[in-house]
Order: sequence, then C-alpha cells, then structure tokens
Amino acid sequence: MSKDDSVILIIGKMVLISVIAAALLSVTYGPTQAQLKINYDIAQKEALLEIVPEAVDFENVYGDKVINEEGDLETLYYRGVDASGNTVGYAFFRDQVGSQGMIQVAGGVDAQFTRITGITIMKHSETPGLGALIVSPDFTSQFKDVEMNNLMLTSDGGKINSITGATISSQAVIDALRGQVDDLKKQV
Amino acid sequence: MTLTISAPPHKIKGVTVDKIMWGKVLALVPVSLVAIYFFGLPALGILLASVITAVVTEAGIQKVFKQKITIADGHAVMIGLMLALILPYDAPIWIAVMGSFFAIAIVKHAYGGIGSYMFNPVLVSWVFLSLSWTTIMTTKSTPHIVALTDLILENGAGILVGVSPIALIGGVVLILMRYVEWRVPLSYFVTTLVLVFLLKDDLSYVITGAYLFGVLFIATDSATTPITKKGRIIYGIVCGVLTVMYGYYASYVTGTFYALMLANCIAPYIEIKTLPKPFGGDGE
Amino acid sequence: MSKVLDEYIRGITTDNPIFGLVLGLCPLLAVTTSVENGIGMAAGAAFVLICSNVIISALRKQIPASVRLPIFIIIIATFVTIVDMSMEAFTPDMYTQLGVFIPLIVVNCIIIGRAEAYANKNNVFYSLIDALGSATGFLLVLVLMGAIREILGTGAIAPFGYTLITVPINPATFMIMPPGAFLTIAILMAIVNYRKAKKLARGG
Repeated sequence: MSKDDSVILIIGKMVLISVIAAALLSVTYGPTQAQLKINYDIAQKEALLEIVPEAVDFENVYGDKVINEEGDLETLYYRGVDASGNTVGYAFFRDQVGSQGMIQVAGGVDAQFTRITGITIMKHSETPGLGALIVSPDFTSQFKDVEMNNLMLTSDGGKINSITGATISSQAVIDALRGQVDDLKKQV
Repeated sequence: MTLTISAPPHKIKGVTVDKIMWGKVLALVPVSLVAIYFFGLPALGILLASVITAVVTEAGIQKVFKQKITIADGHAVMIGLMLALILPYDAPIWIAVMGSFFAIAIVKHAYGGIGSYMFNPVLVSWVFLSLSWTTIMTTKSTPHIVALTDLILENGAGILVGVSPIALIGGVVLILMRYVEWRVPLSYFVTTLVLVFLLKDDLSYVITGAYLFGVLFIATDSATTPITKKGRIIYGIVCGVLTVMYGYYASYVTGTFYALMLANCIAPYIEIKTLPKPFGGDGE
Repeated sequence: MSKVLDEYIRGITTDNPIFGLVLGLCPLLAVTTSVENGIGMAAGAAFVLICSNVIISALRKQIPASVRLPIFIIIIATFVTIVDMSMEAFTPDMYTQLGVFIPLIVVNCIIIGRAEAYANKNNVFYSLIDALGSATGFLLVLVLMGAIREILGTGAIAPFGYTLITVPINPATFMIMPPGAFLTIAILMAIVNYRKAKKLARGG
C-alpha cells in the first residue's frame, strides 16, 4: 500500500473507482428492470383473474395518451370476458394518495357497475403494522361482492371495516375504487 | 460469657432456602387439591407430569454437568407445581412436560441455576408455551368473581389456579411467618387496587386466582426481585401498573403473567438505582 | 496445497464468522426462519464477500491507505446493489422474505472485516480462498440455524418447495418467532464455547 500518494492522486483514484462502480450498476440495471416489468405484468395478470373471478380473459382498452417512447398507449381499463365472449366486468388499476405515499389498487367491478367483484393492493408504502395492513386478506376480502352504495367505511354507514389506527389508508382504498368506477362509467 | 465473632447476619432465624421452597409448595397444596377435585383426573395428570418432569430434568442436568444434585431443596418441585397451576385445565400432558422441561433446563439452569436466573422460569415457560401453541394455551373461559362463593370455588376458571382464590391463603400465611417478603406483594396489590379504582374497571375480573397467585407466589420469587427495601416497593408498584395496563386492555389473567415477566426485566435496574449510598460517596 | 486447504478450513472452524468471530449476527437472527431463507441470505453475502475480497486484494497496492475504508465501502456497496437488484428481479419471493437485510449486507461486518483483515494484506488467490472459507462457514451456520428453527417451528424442512424431512410433532411457533432465534443461537454458542473450553482444559 502506497503511503505517499498526493491528494490529487487519491481523489483521482476514488473518482475512477466510483465511475467503474457506476458503470457496473448501470449494466445490471437494464436487465433487472426488464425482468421487473415482466414480473409486474405476471402479477398484474394474476391480480386481474382474482379481482374479476367470473372472467376468463381480459382485453386491454386503450386511451389516447402515449405513455412511453415505443408509442404504447395508456391502458384505461381491462374488459373481462367469459368463455362465450360476453362482458362480465371491468378491471382497473388506480393510483391513489395514501397516508405515506401512493397506493396502487387493483379493483374489479361488474358489468352494470353495481358491485365491486374484488380488489388487491399492488403497491404501497404505508406504515408497517398500521396502514400496511391494507394488503391483508382480512381487509381486502371485505370488498368482495360489496354493493357500490355500501362501499364506505362503517363509520360512514357503509360495510367496510376500517383498519384500526389507519383510517386514512383504508379511506384511500375506497376513494380509489369509487373514483375509478365513476371514471369508468364515463369511459365505457 | 462467650462472645461469638462472625460475619453478618448475626440474627439467625432458621429460615433457609429449603424451608422457603417447601413452604411455598405446601402453601400451594390446597389450591392443587381443589383443582383436582374440580377438574378431575386431567388436572392430576398435569400436576404430576409437570412436577415429575421438573425434578427429573433438574437431576439429569446436574448429573450430566457433574454438579451437586439439589432436588431436595424443593425448588424444582415448586417450579413444576407453579407451572402446572397456570396451565389450562384441558391442556394435554405433553404441554406440561414440555413447559416444565423448558423452565428447568433453559430458564433456570442455562442461566446459572437457583438465584442466578434473570426471569422467573415459570413465567418464561408460560410465555414460551403461549406463543408456541396459542390454541391450546388459550383458556376456554374467563373467571368472573361476582359472589363470595366464587372466591371459594370459581366455576369459570380457565387455568388450574383459578378454581379457588381463597385456597391461596397459604401465601398470606407465608408472608405472616416472614418466609416471604411483604413489601412486594403489598405494594403490588395496593397499586393494582388504586389503579383499577381510578380507571373504574370492574374489580370482579381482577381478583382472580391467577392474579392472586401472581401477587403472592410469582412476584415474591426472591431471585427476580430487587434486594433493597425501597427497590421492592418500587418493583411492586411497577408490577401493579403493568398488570393494570395489560389487564385493562386485554385480560387480567394473561396480563398478570406478561406484566410480571416485563417487571423481571427491570428488577436489576431498580436494584442498582436503590442501593444505599455509602456515607460521603456520590452513589452508584 | 495444504496451506490452501488450511486457509479454507479456517473460515469454517476457528475463524467462523458466527462462532469464531461473532460477526453478522443481525442477518443470522433475522432471516433464519427457514433453511431456504438461510441459503438465500448466505448466497447473497457469499457473492458480495467473494467479489469484494478479490477486487480489494487485486487493488490493494493501488488503494491509498488514508482512504481505504471509503473505497472498500464503494466496492462492497456496488456488489450489494447488484445482488439487491438481481434478487428483486429474479427471485422476488425470496427478496420479499429477506427484505431490508439484502441492502444491509453493505454493513455486514463479515465482509468489511475480511476486506480489512485479510484481502488488504494478501494476494488475490488466497483472498479468494479466504472469502470462500468464510462464506462456507456463514452458510453452514445459517443453514443449521434455519434447519433447527424450521423443523421445531413448522415440523418440516421444505426448502425451495421440496419437503426433505417431516416430523410428527405439534410445531412450536415460538421457534420461528424472534425469541426463538435468540434462544437457538444462545444454545449453539454455549455448546461451541463449552467444547472450546474443554479443549483448552485438556491443553489442546
């Protein structure tokens, strides 16, 4: 180990190592991001089947907005069809502001927009032990086959029990569903 | 006249470890008998299994590690008996065996044996069993003392010791005979009563067999209480506050045990803080 | 040849990261709820340990003494980030299980310890052997802990979907909870130290 390195040399060496490190990381970043996208798509597909249980297949319904450089269009919602091709419901993904960050809710609604067929939480950054409990089956299973006019917290006269100490997160999930169903009514 | 020159203590009362342990065992016999009478053979099975396992484990460990075999001091018998008494009456025999083995082998001997363990073996073993086999350890009923007869025979007892709060009177006798320190149980009991009164909680759920057992037998375990007089009063208050905290929001039966175990954690700290200062010194 | 073997065995026995040096207890206690998680954690740590040991050893004549720790950290952090990103992408289930302990490999004392104590002073080949030895030692302890806790806590050992052993006991959930980790490591450590003391007493 050399003892008499000058300051410039030391800084130079550190910069060089950092540059190499950054290069290595960027090499890893590409393929892992691609794989993450594949994982997300798979998770999305599984979620779709779960939230609209009557559907066997889904069709993407695109909007006009271009979301990436390849010119892909934004997916507005997914139309769930049964074996004979009839529309049995709609599925959607919606980002909603929770108490700590964005919550991405996947929800399904029947074709007449009268009831929610199921939900699952795709992503969130809520407080562990409190808001994070929105992913627990105890919470999400309450949304299965709940009528739209009961889609409120029990404190507001609805049928959804809020998570103790995490009303904001619970309310955010409900807001996401209500907001998106209202949007869907206009889009379909 | 002959003067005896010796190191303190100078007053010899004739109270030895053996006598305290066997005294506690004796004081627990009435409640055990009531439990056997009330719950029948399963209770007898749990009691026997627990005590025998405790004694065999202690003897086995001391044999393996070539220590003096101390089963005659009654400590193992006491641990086994106390553990059996806080088990649910419908617990399978292997729960008693497991818990008793855990209490003696891990919590007592792995920590250095009698006088050295940090936590009361009975409590830690109970927590171990409760966390591991929650469904078995959850009691099927909650005791509720509404009438004077419930103090003598409580029908709603979930655990063995809950059957008859009055049968625990032996614990009071031990205190009166000075076998057991009075400061911890008294300050513990008074704190609980005061807090329960302040919170307007229902006293009939508090004065259960489990709670009295905690006050008279578990909290007074000498290895896990501070040695100073002031420390013991503080320790009793801490026990009381924790018990009410748990009891108010959950159940006074399990609350007592969890509270006492947490109080065990801070007992050494209380002891250090309350050691008398040497004259002229700045303490600590 | 025998020196190579000695250097390798040393990482498993006397310089075992857990029982010899008592390093890396935090990931050990946190992730060993099952054999599978133990293997995953050990694999991640092994990759970082081997890569950083080799690189640091290769660069040891070039690294200025005054800033060697920042440079070690840059090198280690780079490999940890690679592991982190790769595991998130390719083994998402295990990534969820191990959680924050993957990024925390950066501050795992085993890695910086081997870098400072060994790779910084020895050539590339021996640093590689040393890293392999330490990694094996760490892996063995993690698997042992994971196996004990999994078998007592769930009644079976089932890594990666293959059920290896099933025992007909009523599993003690306690063992896969955090207190079970402390209890297991305490008992294992006591056994190891008891044997060490006995060996010393015999004059070994």
